[in-house]
Amino acid sequence: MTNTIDDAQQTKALALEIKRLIIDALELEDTQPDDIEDDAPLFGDDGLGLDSIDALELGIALRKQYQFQLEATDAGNREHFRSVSTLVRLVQTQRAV
Amino acid sequence: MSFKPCLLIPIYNHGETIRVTVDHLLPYGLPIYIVDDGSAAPTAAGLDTLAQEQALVRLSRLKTNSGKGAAVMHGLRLAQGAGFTHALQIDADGQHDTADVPRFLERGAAFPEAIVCGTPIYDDSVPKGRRYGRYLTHFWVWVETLSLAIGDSMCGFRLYPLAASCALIDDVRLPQRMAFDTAIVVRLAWRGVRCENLATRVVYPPGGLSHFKLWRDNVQISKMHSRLVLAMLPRLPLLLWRRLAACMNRVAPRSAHWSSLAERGGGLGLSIVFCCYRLLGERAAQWLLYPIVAYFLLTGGKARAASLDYLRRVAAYGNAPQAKPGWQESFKHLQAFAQSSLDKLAAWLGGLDGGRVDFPNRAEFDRLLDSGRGAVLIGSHLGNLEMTRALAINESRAIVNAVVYTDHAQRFNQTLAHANADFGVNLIQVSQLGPQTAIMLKDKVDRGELLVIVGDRTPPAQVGSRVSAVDFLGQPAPFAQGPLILASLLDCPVYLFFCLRDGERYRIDFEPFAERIVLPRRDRESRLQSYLQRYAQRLEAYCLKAPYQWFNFYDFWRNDAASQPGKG
Repeated sequence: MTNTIDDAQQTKALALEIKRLIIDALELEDTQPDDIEDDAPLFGDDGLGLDSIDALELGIALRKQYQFQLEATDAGNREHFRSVSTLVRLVQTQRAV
Repeated sequence: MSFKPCLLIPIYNHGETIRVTVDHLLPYGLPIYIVDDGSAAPTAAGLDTLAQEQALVRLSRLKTNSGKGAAVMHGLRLAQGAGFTHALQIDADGQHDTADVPRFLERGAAFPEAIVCGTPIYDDSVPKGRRYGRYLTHFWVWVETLSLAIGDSMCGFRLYPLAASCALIDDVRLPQRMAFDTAIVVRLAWRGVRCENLATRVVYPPGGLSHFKLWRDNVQISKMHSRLVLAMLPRLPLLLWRRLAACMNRVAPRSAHWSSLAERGGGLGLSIVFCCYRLLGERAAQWLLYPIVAYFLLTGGKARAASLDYLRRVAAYGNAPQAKPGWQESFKHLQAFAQSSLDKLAAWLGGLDGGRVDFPNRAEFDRLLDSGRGAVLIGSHLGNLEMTRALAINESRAIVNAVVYTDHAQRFNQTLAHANADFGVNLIQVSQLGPQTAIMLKDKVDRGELLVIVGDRTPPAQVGSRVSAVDFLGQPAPFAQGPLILASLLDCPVYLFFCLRDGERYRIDFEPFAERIVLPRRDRESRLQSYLQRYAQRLEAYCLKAPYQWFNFYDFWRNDAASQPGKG
């Protein structure tokens, strides 16, 4: 029981950490972590609306912070970066390895 | 012209599959001519029973096995004799999708004078060797007819117009075996019979029996092509005239983005030269380039216009003596391109020894490799980019990755993968730039690998059209920001390199461009602008040195940057 609560808290903390990282890396000065919804798409016209340079910058920042290893051939890679929630899951799976 | 079709199946020992094929065809209610090409007893007996059971089946038998072509010709004559106007040929082995029969008939009824050829859509069941062989034949057919009108000359699923076909087989001796399918369609094209292409699914059924004998049939197919090419030469003026007439009838659409052009310059050019080289050797391939270049000059309206436009800019900008380049210069331009394709191939096939390549500032390159640092290398379509890549592989110390946009690269890659089994350059395809792209590229650069990106192509719209308009040969042209943005994020040095042909030799120029690219968010655009302007100036300098080696055959100065006023 306590475990589940810990997990939920950890996930929440990680989501906050990732939001901060996004804001710092992309210098989104007018954005607060609370402004970013966990499931909102990061790229494209709705949600946070980041463009392709932002995407590349974010990739570099995430890699630096979490030392991601991605298979170049994995077609699902793009999906990992869809939203804060998917990123949280990616970080958690990478840590579990 | 009336339209009275029948079905035609040549068969040789496909006893098990023929019944299924016929069962699928019976509902169409058309007479089915089956020509038994001397099958062994079990199949022959099965066919006899089938013919007795089914009134629509009309069986005819060749005494000895004479080949698919012989069987088809026999069937065509029978069908014409019985008063039919068209015969739809289907293979006996179940490869062809009988559900497409109505589509063939519909097309035939709409264009009764044309031959309707199936162009196969394969699933994964097709053996690789077969696919490769088809590729060679496609190329030869294009040369032989000087046209891309025939989508696929080998698919045995096609609707023959009987009058023209029978007249042809009465006049000319056609190959009796597998080469027949191609020979008849090429000869019909020479006689002005139009080819209607119809996409159709083809499967290689598991356990299916194919009579394609790899060696015998490939030799025969090669012989056929030699004969056809020889026979084509006297017809050349007529064929060219037809092409020209077709060209003039076509209204050239507005200049398109290079990625939407059918990449005449890349895929097709490359495969053409590849086939020549493989089959005939370098010198022969060089000779064959002339008619091909002439063909491109005549038919490639957009490429020709782009070539002239470019040559005029160079002439005006560089104060060249011939102020107004024309057809002759364009021919020279396209010829240089064809030659470079040949050289690429030579490099890939290992036919090019390092002795033909000068690399004056090799020391700079060695320093980079020694440092163990990764770098971004910006190449261009001026000169021979692939040449450098081939060298890099021979060098074996350097791990080279080519970063390219879109699926055009895939075709390119496939051609070269065939050409050189040890195709060692990693091709990184970027269809959409995302965080994953950056992570992957950063990994590579950190491992000391080199990323080659071309600087003179703008990305297709779906990648995001980040361009800066900078002066190039006297007028602003859009240049992609992508390579520099990547370099700035990857935090690595940037080099430019060019590989230009100089007489019989190549010369590699390798020069440092920036130790790091720094793009502060605030004035990113203006920084990019000045970096790109500097790149354009270097490119321009090399253009003036080797004006005919510019291989961007599309309107480079196109109007997609808002800052470019009044281009006509």
